[in-house]
Amino acid sequence: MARFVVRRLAFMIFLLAIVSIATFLLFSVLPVDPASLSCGQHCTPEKIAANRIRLGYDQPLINQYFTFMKGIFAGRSYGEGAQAFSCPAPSFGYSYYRGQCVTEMITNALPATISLTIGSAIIWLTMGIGLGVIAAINKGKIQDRVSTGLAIFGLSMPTFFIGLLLIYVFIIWLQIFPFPSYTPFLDNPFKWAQALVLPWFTVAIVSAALYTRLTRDGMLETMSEDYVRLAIAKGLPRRKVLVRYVLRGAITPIVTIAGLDIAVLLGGAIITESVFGLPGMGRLALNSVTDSDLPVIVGITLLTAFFVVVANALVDILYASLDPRVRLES
Amino acid sequence: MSKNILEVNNLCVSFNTSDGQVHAVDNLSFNIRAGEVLGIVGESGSGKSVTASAIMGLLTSGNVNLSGSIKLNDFEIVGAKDSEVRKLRGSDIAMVFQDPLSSLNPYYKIGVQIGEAYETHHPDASKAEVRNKVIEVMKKVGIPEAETRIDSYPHEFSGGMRQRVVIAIALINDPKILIADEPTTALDVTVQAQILDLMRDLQKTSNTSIILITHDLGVVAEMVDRVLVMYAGRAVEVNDIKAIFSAPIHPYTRGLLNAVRSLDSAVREKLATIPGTPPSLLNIPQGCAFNPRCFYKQWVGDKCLVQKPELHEIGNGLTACHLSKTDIERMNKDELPVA
Repeated sequence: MARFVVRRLAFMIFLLAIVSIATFLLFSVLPVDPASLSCGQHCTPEKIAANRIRLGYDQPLINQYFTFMKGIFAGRSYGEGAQAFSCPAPSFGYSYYRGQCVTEMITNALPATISLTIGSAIIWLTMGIGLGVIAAINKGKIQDRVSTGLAIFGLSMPTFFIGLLLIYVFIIWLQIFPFPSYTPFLDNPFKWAQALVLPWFTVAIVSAALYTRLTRDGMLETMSEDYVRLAIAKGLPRRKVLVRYVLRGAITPIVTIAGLDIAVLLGGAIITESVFGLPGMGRLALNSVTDSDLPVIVGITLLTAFFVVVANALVDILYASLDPRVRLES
Repeated sequence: MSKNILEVNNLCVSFNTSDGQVHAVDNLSFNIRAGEVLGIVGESGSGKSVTASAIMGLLTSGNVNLSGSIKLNDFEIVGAKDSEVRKLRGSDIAMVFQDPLSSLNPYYKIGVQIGEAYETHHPDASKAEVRNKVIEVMKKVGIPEAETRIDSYPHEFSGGMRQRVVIAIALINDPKILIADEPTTALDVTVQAQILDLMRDLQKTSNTSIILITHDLGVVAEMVDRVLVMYAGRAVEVNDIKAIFSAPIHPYTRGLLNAVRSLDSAVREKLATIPGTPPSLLNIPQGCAFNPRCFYKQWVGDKCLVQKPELHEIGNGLTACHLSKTDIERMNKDELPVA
């Protein structure tokens, strides 16, 4: 088991190195010149050239890459003398547009996104798996149709529509919630939750459908397994058979997809965050794209890739503890 | 003669499918005495496994029509509440399935899976008691190093060992009846013999009745006292094992025997088969279901095509065939009707 984990982690680091190179190359070929963008209104060619040197864009690409990578581990400083400023490690660069270190911008945006992700994941997993179980044990009956129908309804609704619908129903019409303004959890947990309930459900309604499907089909498939028949033949109570045998057999693909979904969501839920005005990663990404704020986009892209790669590794390791057969095959 | 432990009377099982009603078991009656080994023989689709499921009380889904009676020690299984049948399952009646590779849950240690069968029916047993009981039964079914193997996962066992685990699960509550549904079909020939030996030894020491479902007459010959031959959901012959092999009283049994290759048959001799295929259960032939494949129907005539033969006694056995006693004797003397 330890060897498996070590090997998986080594592979993860290798993968991250590749992703960083690819991202870096991708953004270096974009027809955007950071030096002129950060120049301001009364721009002269001299200013642009000076900017280019200050930001390090005059260097060969390979040097830029290594400076960037070094910044992640050791921090990085820009300019000289009185104008000098530095971004401490881990530094993902400096936003010339906002005049802020990228890392600082991301750290400010992450709490909202993490809050959104964790809350909605709990809701969509409960909802998705719950409906899936109901559908599977009532296969072909009305409960099955309703559950699957609800799931498909959720899946086919665009996120912005559900978001606006929830705002209309719960904020404007029923006035159960005030219009959300994000409050950090540590400041006021109640206000924190109040602002996030609707975004949580927006993300959850859209995401739950897949889990309902996966749970239902996985359980139905497991139900025809011989080992389930044997469990019934042992005289085990129905509920025990369903949970310990049927659901257990169906849970592995759910864990895989959940890991990846959560990772992607941590990179920002652009639509949901915009609809509800949450100051998270998604909104940061959107703003940076509109402003052509390249360093921020690179930072967010790398961080999202990091989340996905880490989630993948975690899922693999979790797999090994979920399925005793995996350990031998590794 | 000891009393019947299981009595099946006029059992009918049909399934509603989108293609129509499938009559899987039709008016089946048989019984089994304490300590007896009954073989149920027939081709695929003859209703053997459905009969087993009915006895286990597993046919509960909405598309099943079940009628007749299955009595275990005077307890009526047909129509009983699932919660009551559940108490019998795994304690009084246990089952061993065909494929040991898929019968065990890959996610749990085998000790857990064996112990579960005991715990369910002995809710007051302590953890240590269960563990001791599991080790005891593992030793009984010949799993070496039971004390350490108890914490292994199924994939760490060979097929034969896994079937021993499945048998251990079946035997841990000392069942009155063990239903073994083709328990050796998925195993290597050498392992088959070991498993059959094991079952025979256990049966002798515990006086458990066994219903052995198989299509392999070799397996039947090794350990069965009495044989029930099924065809298209009906019993066609019930006879004791010696009579089945020396003087069968149904043309279908006769056909099955001809299809067995014996050690003294000539090397180049062609293996005999029964012509045709078993009928679709959606569309069972009129009269005797076996008539389209029967060599001997000429001796009887049109009766085979129109009238369903009922089980009746010939000698010590029961047969569902219109052939007269003399015709059956002719059949067993290798006489064939002129084509």
